[in-house]
Amino acid sequence: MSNRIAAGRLHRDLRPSLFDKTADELIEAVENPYSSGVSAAVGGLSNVETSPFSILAGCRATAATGKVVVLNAAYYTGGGVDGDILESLGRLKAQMSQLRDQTYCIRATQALSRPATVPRPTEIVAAKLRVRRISEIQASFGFPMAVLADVLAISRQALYKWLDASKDITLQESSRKRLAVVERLAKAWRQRCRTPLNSAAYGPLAGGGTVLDLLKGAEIVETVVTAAFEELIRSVSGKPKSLGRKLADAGFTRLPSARSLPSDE
Amino acid sequence: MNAATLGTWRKPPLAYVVAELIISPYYSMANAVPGLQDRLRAVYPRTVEAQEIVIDGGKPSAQPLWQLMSADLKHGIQFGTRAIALHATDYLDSGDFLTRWAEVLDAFAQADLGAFVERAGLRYVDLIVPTEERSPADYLEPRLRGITLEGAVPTGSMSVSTFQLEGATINLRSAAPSPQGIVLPPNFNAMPLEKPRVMLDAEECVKAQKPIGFIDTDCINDVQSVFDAERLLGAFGEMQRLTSRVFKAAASDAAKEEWT
Repeated sequence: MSNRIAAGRLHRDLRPSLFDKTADELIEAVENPYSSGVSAAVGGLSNVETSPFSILAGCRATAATGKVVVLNAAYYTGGGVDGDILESLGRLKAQMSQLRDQTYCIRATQALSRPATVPRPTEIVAAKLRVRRISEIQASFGFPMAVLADVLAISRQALYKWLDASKDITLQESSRKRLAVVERLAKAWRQRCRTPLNSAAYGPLAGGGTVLDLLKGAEIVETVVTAAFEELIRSVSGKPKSLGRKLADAGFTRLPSARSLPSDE
Repeated sequence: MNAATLGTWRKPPLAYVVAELIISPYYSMANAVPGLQDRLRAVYPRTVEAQEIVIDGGKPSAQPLWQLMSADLKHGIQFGTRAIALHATDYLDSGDFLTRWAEVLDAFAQADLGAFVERAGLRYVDLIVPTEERSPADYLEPRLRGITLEGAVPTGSMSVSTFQLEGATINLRSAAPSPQGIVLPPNFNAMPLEKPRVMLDAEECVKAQKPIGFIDTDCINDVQSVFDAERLLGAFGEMQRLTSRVFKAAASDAAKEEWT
């Protein structure tokens, strides 16, 4: 229902914007003799749970004058009323007020009980920290997901779960240790080289195998892997520089093309 | 130890680590224990019920205390009406320790206690077990070694320094040698966890009346806000960094060389 109160046809002409829709009982109360009309209005209201009249305190029209009395400061029309009407309207107003209070009480109770019954979402800080740690490893190594999963000695599906910050996962003790070791090695590589390890991880080592083989092993021996890092760094630095690298080292930079996005985007 | 690369240290001196939150008295903590126990049981299946004596002004009062410990007894959570703490005698590195602490913070966040956190503390106890040719003092930065007297053999030498650093307070206590018969710092209340290798070695030295020492770095952050797991974890990350910095300043080059 609208929160506007309406009267009969005559009164619609008086307040077309205000009285375009109505509750039948109130129209009757407006257009019929006082007491029966008020009773009808009250009777009708008692069945209304979410009444639009929570805004309007009540209404009465005098059939004789064709005026509508709206007991609401915002919509007061100033119509003349006698004592009986006022008494009836007083009862109506009191009943509506009671009804409104009850409605408010119900609504307030519902609203207040809602937070207690609906679980409050909680941040899983351990999951966020876990995701951050793996992201840092990935930034340093740059491995495809399947390879990173092998390095962490878990399945690819498990890695995706680890990377989901909404997943509250309890890591096995062996997984914690593996993650810590891989994290330290990622940090060790980052300290030595800014290029992700993936670009050099498949190169053969002097002793045979690759650094990736060492990282995928059942047991990662940190000193051995760190030594392999040193070997890779030496081999990378011994390679002739590419033309692009030489130009960059000489201070040349790329000119932004017409299609380039502005730098702040 | 506090360095991020502890796992690669050949002879780590770290014996004990504690991360702790001091909360405003929370007398209904007992109601939250079943839920916390359920959330933490996967990692901390052992439970010990205890009591702590609180001496606060008038007569001492006993308050309940709960200790949840891992099956291997290397990690333990202790909480009561005034504090929540994670104790560890096995330390891979700061990333691993903070992840374990984050899991504890998550469990308390899910319990929705709404506790008011007064302070946060992070404490590392490193033990100095000297080799045959060295004394405990050799492991400390020279300015922490105290005075020497001609013909006198020191039986105890302790140094206490307090720093204000980036909004945190850091207490550095060092002993070289430790007072006789003492392994852990005098005001340190440890949980009954499994002792790491360095602590067993230190105990052997004490039994044999050989001198040992310790470096105790204790960082305190005045939180003064309602429990917020994410914010607290961020604070602990900063505290770890500061603690590491102070430890490195306290250890001598010889110590770093031997331990790493």
